[in-house]
Amino acid sequence: MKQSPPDPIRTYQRKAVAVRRRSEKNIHCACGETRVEALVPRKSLCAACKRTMKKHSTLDNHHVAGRRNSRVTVPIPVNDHRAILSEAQYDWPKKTLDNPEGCPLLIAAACIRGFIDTVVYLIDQLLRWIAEMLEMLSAFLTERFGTQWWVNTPLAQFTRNA
Amino acid sequence: MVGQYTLSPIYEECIKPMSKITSLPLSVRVYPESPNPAFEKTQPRENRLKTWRQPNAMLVFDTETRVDATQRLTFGSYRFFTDGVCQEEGLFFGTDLPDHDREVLEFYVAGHSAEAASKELKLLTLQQFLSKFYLAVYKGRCLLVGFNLPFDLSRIARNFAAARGRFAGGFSLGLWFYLDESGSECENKYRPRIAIKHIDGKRALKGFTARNACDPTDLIPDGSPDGEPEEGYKFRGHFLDLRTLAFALTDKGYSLASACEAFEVEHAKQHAEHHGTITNEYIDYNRRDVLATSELARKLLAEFARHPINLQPTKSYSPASIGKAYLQAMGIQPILERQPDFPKKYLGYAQSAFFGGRTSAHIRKIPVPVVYTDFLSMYPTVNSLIGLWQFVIANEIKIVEHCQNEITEFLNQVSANYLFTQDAWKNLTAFVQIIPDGDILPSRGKYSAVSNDWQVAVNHLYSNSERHTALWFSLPDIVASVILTGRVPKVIDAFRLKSRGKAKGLKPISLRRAIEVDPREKDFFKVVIEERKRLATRTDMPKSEKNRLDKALKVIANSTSYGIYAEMNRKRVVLAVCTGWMCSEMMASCRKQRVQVGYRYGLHVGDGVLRSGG
Repeated sequence: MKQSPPDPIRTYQRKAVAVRRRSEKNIHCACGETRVEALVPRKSLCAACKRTMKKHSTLDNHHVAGRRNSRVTVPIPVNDHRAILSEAQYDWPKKTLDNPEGCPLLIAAACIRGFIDTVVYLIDQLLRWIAEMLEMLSAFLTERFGTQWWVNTPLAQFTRNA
Repeated sequence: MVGQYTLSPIYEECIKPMSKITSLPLSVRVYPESPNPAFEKTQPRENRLKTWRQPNAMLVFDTETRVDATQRLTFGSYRFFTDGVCQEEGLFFGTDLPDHDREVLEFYVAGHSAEAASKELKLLTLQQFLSKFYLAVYKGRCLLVGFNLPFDLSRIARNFAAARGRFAGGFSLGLWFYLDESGSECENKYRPRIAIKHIDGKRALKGFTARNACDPTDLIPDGSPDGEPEEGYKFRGHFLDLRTLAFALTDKGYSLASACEAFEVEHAKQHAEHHGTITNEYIDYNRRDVLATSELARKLLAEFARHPINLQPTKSYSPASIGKAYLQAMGIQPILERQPDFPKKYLGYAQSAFFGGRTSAHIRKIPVPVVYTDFLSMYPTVNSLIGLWQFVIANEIKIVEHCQNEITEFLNQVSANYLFTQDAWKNLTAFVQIIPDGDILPSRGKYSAVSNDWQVAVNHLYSNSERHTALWFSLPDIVASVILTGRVPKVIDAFRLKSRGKAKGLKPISLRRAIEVDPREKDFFKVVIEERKRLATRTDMPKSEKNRLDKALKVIANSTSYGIYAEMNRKRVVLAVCTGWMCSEMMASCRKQRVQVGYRYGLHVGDGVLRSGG
């Protein structure tokens, strides 16, 4: 099935506006956050650090299917909420996200889109780093013990069957 | 009074002066000062330019039109780039496109893919395209790129009106409309219009107008250091007309095809067999135009980036823009900013002696023998001979008043041979008031009853009463007259210019990042001439690069040599605002305005000398 890509002009426009709101001198937060969507306008601060300073929770309740379609929320770190999940929702068809008439089919579409976005986010956050770490560990062991380093170790049982 | 020449007959190359002397009203330039001191102090807000960064995205589009007199939009195509990568490509069509033409477009997009990251070739209505246009160009502030943009912008507009304010005399185009409850089309006042004012055939001022209820993010100035919205800020847009930029970079007019050739664009413009009828080949042709335009934009922007100047390519209207930016980059401030108390009286005298160069052909379509004469780097050469660079970098320009005796003595020894000595030229930085008596001098009059236009000509000039018709001329004009007539005119007053010291803040610069010049140590004009000459013998760069550098040096030399020192800035002052009572519908604007003129560089003293010296 053909997958409709996000609108590059909308994506660019959102990014350009976020960059414009950012202070010219402060292009990242002291914590290392550089995603422009997560930075607080006109401050050298990210949303998470700002909340921490104010002793507020750094988690947001993300409306998985959009505020207009479902009340279901999941707690997400505020920076990721702003930089990843909200951004992903802006790439949905505007009618689906806004759904002004409350069309049930669009609600269903939004639930599916929201679920996909959230799962992709969880995969990225919870699983992808493990894959990357395993690849680094493999490279490290190869360098240290040679290309067949797993021979005569319990890990040999996981090797590819001939 | 002017002694006229007549041609009788022209093909016999015989030019005989008429014995009759004709009276003609002459006009001279003036240096106006505003009665309102606050107006004089108004300075352009240049601080924003300092932090302007070129957007990393651009929207390139091109339109095709009907071939009848209406030239209405049939269809067009666009490409949207971020960081040099084409992200989206599509076609759009006019609202009144016949069904069969629309079917051709639909059939085409079904069978073709986009040359972009997204392979889907989009087909949009004009309204859909304009929504994208608004997001990208106004909200996202990307570059809008086209070749001859005013034409294409006018094709996608829904209505037009007379522009006001800084664009007065031009057009204001309405692009965004909506249907109200009754189904009639209304202009969307929450979106800007686009104002266009033509300067000449190659250049036009373009900009978004104000709109109602701006979002706070639209009020953040470009390059704002703090990201704070600024009340009253209007984003004017980044309109990049490649025809204008190519002209500014080379001082030459181009078509898209010739520009692609000159700048070695990989996918150059193609030619269409037929225009007006939508066919697959015609759509291919239009898409190719957009591709060629986008590649040309990259080439021109790369060429522009080689100039170490603080100038937006979108505001580079002519070689003079580049020349001025170079002076600014060298830390050269306009004289009146360095020396605000410079006596304005002398600016007025110098201004009245200023006759800008103009070429007109009075013998057309009749073969006559000619001698082709070319003078390599004439303006900078004359600048260098007269020693005008010292005035450009001077800390102060002094006036030596009433030196008529010294000038008369100098004129008495002038001859053509004497001018072959370089030192003679250094004496020419002076202005002379004379009572003309048959001297051959420039004058501005309505010489042709047909054109009824003020034109500059060099004629025998007479005065019928003393003092009243004493006129100021630059010394080189007087010297030319002495050589032509063999007699020294009656000088009644004169003043000489002397430079004193060197301005602070002067800094070295690299011309097109290839040739180092230190304005404090070297005569800039001389360096440019010598480097241009030396270029022919250089073997350390490819031929194409040598050609580009040669053209760039020519542009820099000419643009910094002449014209820009007498920059005229028109400013409009609102005298009265109409309250609506008795307002005529025929009025283009409800504001009564008066044009005031101010001279920025105030160095037309030098320009007057230079013009006549050249």
